[in-house]
Amino acid sequence: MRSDKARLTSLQISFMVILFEIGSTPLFLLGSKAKQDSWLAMTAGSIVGFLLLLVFLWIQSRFPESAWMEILTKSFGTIAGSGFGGIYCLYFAYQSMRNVRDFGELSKLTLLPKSPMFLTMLIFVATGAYAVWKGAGVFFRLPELLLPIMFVVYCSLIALLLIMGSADINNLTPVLEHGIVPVISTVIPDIVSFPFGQMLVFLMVWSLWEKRGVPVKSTLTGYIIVSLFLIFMNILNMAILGPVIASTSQLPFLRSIRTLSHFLLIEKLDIFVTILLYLGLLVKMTLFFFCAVQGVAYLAKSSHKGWVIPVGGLIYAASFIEKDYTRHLAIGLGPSLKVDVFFQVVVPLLALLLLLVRGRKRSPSRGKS
Amino acid sequence: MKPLFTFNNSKKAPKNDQPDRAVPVSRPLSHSLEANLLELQQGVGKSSDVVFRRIGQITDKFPLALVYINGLVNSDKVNQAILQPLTESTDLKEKEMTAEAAFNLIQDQIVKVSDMAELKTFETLQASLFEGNTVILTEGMNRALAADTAGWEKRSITEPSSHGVIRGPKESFTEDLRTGTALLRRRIKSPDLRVEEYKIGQRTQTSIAIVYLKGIADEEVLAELRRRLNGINTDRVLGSNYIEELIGDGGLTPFPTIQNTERPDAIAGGVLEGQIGILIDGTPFSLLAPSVFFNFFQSVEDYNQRFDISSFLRIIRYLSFFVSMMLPALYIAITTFHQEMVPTTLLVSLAAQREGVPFPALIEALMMELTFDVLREAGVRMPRAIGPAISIVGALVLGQAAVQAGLVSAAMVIVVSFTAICNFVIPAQTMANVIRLLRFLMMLIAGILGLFGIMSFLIVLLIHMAGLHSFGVPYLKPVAPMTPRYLKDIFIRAPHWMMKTRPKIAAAQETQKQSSVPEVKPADRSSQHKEDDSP
Repeated sequence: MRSDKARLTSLQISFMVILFEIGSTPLFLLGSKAKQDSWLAMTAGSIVGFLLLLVFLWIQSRFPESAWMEILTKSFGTIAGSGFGGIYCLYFAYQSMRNVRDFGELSKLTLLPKSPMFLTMLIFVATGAYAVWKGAGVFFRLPELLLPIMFVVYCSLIALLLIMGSADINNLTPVLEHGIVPVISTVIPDIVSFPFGQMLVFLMVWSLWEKRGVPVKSTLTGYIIVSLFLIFMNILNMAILGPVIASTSQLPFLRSIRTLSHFLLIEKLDIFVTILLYLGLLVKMTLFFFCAVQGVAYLAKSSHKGWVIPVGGLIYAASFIEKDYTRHLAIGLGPSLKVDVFFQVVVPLLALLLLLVRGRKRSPSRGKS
Repeated sequence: MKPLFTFNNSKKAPKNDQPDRAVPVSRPLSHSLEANLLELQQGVGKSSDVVFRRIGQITDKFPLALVYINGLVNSDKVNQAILQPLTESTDLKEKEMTAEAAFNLIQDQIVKVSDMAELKTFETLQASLFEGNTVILTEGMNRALAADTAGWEKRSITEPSSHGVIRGPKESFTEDLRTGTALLRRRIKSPDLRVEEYKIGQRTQTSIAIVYLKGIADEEVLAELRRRLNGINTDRVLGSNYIEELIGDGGLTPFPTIQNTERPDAIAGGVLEGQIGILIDGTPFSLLAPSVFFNFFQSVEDYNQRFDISSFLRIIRYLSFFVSMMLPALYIAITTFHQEMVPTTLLVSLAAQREGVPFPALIEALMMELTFDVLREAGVRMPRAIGPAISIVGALVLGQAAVQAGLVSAAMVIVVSFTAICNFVIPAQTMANVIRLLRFLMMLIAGILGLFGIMSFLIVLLIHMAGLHSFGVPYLKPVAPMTPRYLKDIFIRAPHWMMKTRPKIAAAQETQKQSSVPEVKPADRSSQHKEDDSP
């Protein structure tokens, strides 16, 4: 049996960053609280996220061979670190479950209105579980296959929107109508923690890079590309729908595409949007799933394969906790984002501090020995 | 009693299961001619095609015997090069000589055959007989001479019956292994072209040759291939699929990981790209390994035509692949779950057609697809003379009449026939067969879960394929893991002058620990790929 000490190429990491960050983001119009300035909020969010990403990369560069769980135990000590590790596994599973539920609701909304959600979600989780079970080497090949497809579909949809759609740049004016305060308040913590702060999961991934060190270049390239893309999509949606509709509609991108329906042979392009969302959600869900499984496997010191089904079962079960989509959305865009701050900012910064302190203590002793 | 048929797959056979060798111990020849002949005669039984020819009168001191198998040897050659010189030789009669000297004399001077060998045991002797050699036994010697007199009836080189091309060589391999290797040597006149021969199958003793270019074929892949070939434990090899299944990767996967072709130019092309050809005696179909998914969409014709049309055709093939796999499933999904996707006018006419059809779309599609597969199988089996009858039955009765009778809708007939035609676009039959099977699965899933089912199934297929390997090479290479500069010959076919480097067929990256897999230098030697038409 080929051992799956997977070695990921730089390209695979870039592609995964892009796909992961796209994930479920086009489902929502982020920063809609800032009205027509949401794109400014996105830009600011991505810049703050970029700084956060540099922190993550710096932490990783201290221990290029270790995954996040290992770094936690190294910085907080074995017991506290394992405790944090366990909580992080739950956090990853929770994030994964959010995507499962997102997809369940999406399929109810567009794809299969009559089929029961438990079935679609079960299949969704099972698909992810299969990829996780196959291991990182196989799972990280998936973006290489899917991203080109998504790229083509996105490009054609965007081209259609630009040519035939009713994008009106005036919808973006007046810039900063209510001053900078609403923008800042949506950026921190909302946009930073979703989606940009979620780059945290790559702390579980970077150590799998085929070369020595940390894949700084490929990660940052992917991050910058996807940030620009998300900002562009935000502008596009806002320009087509206008601040009022954009902030109230459930699936703004779908809404934008629907404005095209008169022009084309195919009555509704919904299906393409749904496919795009499906692929994004799948990859994002699976990466969280993967990280949760890897984390548990590290803490339990056993092979990851045995943990795929328990963790998958947990994610599947957890996706039923919220009663309906409204509550799911309310939690996801409300309290959940506040909790994210703890995981994405507080703990890493704490780890960073401890590492700095310890590093200072250790370096003289290292010099002696 | 040993079982007549044992088919021990090396992968599954338990270790204590002794290989079913025909003769386990080696028995040396004796000094007595009579004893040797008796032993041989007992060995082959009363087989009428084994000829024992005694030449006793030459000299009483050294009686001789020739043994050969009628039909495997060229009788003219036996008569002129062996029998005549032996009977006419005066040296043997006149001189006072020892058995040893006579033996050497026969070997060195009398017998006029280029390829001679000395044999010491009955096993080698028998094996050599079955290869068409003539064995010369002499009194007083515990050794025998084998002269290569092989010459049996062979089919001559003809045009390939599959993988046809418009502009390209029209030769195909024959059942004869030597013809095959010669056809390759004629195409690649390089000392680096190596031919390694194996004998596989305890009873059939089939010759198998692996052909590769030293320095270009990956050594690790070669070692793995040799290991797998040596690990084969079967009693028969009657065609290329025996080898393909016994050495192929992947366990239970519908996807082929080894190509097969009867075209020498295809094998030569693969060998020049670093693949390894496997020629099998007794079948014109040879194998190429390692093969990744995209190899099955390349045809030799691509390189014989201009790059622009080749690229276009290649894209058509990939499209056909997807259409052939998904069209019926999409039809089912859209008519059952997603009617809103179809423009209203089309929807109305579809609905009108389906009005009289008593079955749900899934059943209708399954019925028609099965019918087509039955027709296709019948087409392979039926005698030439009744071919037209079947096509009339197929086209008219099952198509038009079925629609008129209201059993199926006309749209479904179109879907099924287009699907069937698309299936024939894929150059590799093995890959086309994969989708023949997957199509049914996909239709069932589409009938239950609509487009979501199709998407999920495709993703699962992709994950499955991303996890496959062919001799350590990831099955979706060079797309996943992606090497952008190797994509020149995957979805399109770049002009020959543009493909300066040979895509490396890397060994298993997963098994290697070292990072940043460096380019294999010999494989990267600039442009053996170039052809005369480069500027």
